[in-house]
Amino acid sequence: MKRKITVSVAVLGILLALGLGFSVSANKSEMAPNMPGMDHSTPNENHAEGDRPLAATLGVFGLASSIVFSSAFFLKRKDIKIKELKQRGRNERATTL
Amino acid sequence: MNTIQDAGGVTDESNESKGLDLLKFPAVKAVMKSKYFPKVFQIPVAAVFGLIGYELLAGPSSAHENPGTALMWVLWWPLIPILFLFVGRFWCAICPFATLSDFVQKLVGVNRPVPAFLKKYGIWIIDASFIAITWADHVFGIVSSPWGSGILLLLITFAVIVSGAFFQRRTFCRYLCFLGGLSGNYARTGMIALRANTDICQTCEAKAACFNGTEKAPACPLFMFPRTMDSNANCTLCANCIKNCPNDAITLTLRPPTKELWFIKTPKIEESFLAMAIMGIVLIQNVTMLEIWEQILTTVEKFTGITNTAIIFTVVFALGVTLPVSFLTLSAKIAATKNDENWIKNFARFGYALIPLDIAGHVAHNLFHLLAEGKSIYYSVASIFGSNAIGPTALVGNDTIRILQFIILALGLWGSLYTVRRITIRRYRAPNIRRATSRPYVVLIGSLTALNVGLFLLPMAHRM
Repeated sequence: MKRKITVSVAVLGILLALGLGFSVSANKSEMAPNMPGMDHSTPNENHAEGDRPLAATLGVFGLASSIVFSSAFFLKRKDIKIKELKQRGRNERATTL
Repeated sequence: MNTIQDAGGVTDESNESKGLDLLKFPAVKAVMKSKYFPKVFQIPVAAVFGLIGYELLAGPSSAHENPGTALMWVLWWPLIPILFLFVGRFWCAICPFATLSDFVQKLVGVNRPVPAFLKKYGIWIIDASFIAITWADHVFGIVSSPWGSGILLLLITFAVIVSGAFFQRRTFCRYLCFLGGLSGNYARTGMIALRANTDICQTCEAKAACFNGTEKAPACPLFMFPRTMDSNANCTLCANCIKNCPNDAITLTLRPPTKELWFIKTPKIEESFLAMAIMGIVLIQNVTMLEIWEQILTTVEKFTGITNTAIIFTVVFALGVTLPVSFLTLSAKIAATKNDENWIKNFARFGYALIPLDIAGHVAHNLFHLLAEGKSIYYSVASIFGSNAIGPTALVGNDTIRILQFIILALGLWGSLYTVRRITIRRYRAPNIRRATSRPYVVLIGSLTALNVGLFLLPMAHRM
């Protein structure tokens, strides 16, 4: 169980980091004059709103969060079922004794 | 034997928790016990951060015009270390990410226990992520780009969602938050200390209600047990334990700033390392904001032939972070020849003494942004409501800012030197051992202060 959580979190993290990383590098030219830029030229020009992959970024974020929510939801349900089964077993043992 | 044991002949350690108990005041007690505390702060802070996030991602793409950038980096970031000094980690109690974590937990929380590796290496992960984020800020221009800041917020939000969905309480805040690590270190200097009256706790039959929570309030979010707590590092002053304690054993005492640093029972090398790394980061932050930074880049380019600024910055950054750590190592090695402890113990013990100077450097640096660019907060926030107000951004003149910066540095210097003195008095009996041990640290603190003064004398560039 622990390994499943770790692997799913790691995969989601990598996906999110990749998606968002692309978004950051697409906007790298927005550095302040005093900040070091990759090509040493650091224009601080205004970009049009369309330059930012807002929809894609929020999409990746939303998708990743939904996967986390649903995995947690199913895990929780499984935990509750296991708890119920254990309790039922205990009750049955108590009645047979 | 020159050293004395922590639990042994120490005279003033037992006084650590004594002081004016604020919970003796009915008004303070009523506030802390109220079910609306700290919710009354959490909701507006979460709303403001929601606005900041929206503006960063969807607002003007120029930092100069973006209210999110102004609110986050010119107002919130400079105020944070000042808050730590006065009210410890209270920010963490009202932090929007903590609120989100609680919300996710209520919704789908699986409540798995904190993984062992996080408990063991959490602070190193915090150290590494703090260094990595600062590096990324410079290379990718996160602070100066609203979009970059927005992405950072999204990444943190995602990490908080994962932590809240799968793990108990506020695992992220305790073991992973880079700001939590910083605040844990800084909060040790805080003037308010929450502790438990152990005499009352010994007779308690409430089965650790303060730790486990009751129907009155949830469990301690940062997994602390007030009965054994001797540090502010992991207390957010959320008041859950105050509400849950059936015996009113919790005290909320006022104490002089930095006092906790004099009595660290089990110094940890990773916390001392973080203190030194922060010192390096603040120095680098200062250097890159100086107008001479461009000249430095050109000079390095000329000598090495490397034109890639990211590579040059990475080298300078690595040097900047490593230097204070190396200097403390050197001081610890010299001190170790004068007392009975090895250099690692010396490093861990005296690294905490640098925290007051750390905060002073941090506050002094950010004071420039707050006071020289403060009006930009008004202009950019007013722009949300359609105002076209524009004008100079400074709240006060540069000379005033510089004087304030030097006053703050002087206080930090005094705090660090005094902490070294108190640690040596507490730790070593013989006066000659005390003097010999403190000498290398005094030289280190003096040198780092001089370096800070030198940097603050040079003209600095604006964030907005």
